[in-house]
Amino acid sequence: MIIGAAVFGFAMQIVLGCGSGTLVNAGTGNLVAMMTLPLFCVGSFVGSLLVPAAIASTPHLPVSLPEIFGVPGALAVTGAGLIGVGVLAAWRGQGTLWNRRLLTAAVILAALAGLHVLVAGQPWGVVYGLGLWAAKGAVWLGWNPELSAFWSHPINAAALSQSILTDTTSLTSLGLVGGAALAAWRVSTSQALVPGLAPWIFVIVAVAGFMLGVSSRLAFGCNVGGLFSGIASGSLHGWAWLVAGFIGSVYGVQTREWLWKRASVVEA
Amino acid sequence: MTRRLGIVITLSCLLGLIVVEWVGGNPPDPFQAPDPMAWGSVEGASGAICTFAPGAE
Repeated sequence: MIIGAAVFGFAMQIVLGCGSGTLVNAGTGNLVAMMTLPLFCVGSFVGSLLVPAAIASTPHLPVSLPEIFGVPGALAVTGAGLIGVGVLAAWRGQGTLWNRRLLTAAVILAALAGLHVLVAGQPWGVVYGLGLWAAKGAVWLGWNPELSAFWSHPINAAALSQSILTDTTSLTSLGLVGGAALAAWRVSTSQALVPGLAPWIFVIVAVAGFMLGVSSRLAFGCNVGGLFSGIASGSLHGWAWLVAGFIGSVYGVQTREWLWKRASVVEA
Repeated sequence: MTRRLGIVITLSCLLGLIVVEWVGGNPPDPFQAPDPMAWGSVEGASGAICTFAPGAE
């Protein structure tokens, strides 16, 4: 899980988008995200095939803060942890901590994430749906899901046999794309579809998209389903995801700067 | 070519996914769908979520 989170953190910096970010970017007609998304789906499916072996080969100890401290105690511990992250960001960060626009967006996002739990009974997540779409494609091509420990599980088998319009994560993914398209529709005619980048960068982006998919399954979700929803639900794995994903992101940012600089230079 | 074309392509692909599945014999079944409003209860959830990991329960 920790390795998966680090790889996801690295790859999401390369493509300039996490799971939800890629869906949003694709919805706005961003060509990089449009290249990433199909490979992300395939990678998520491949990752699902690897999950049982990954779990069997490494120790996984579920730690639930509400079970240890009770709900009030878990809320206090989680709140203290988040304040600690904020203090660390204020101390080491270079930007302005109190950005009204970002804070407003964060509050709206938190309210919508809460609404998601209220409506669906489960936290916000998207990449499960992406893997499900690819799995449905694999079934159509003749793949037998009963051969997979992941997809033969009753919950996943049920999701596979039902319409994606009754799958919560699929609906969340579709909603993200639709909402982003709606928001970007008016200004989309003033932006070029093909950015000034060398063609080889799209091959790298596609590979990174595949890595995003595989790693998100092995990390029990992306930075939303695994990290944010993990922390919000009082699971310790969300905090482990945060540390590992951050380390991966640091290297991802450095690599992205190096790659995109050369891709832009070649075009010029 | 503008990003308007990209939006149209993306939405068309997703719409195509829904249509192909629907026409291919898997239309939405309201009797199998999760509750329209779970009120935050896990009883109303499908269980098919990103953190689901068979074998690690």
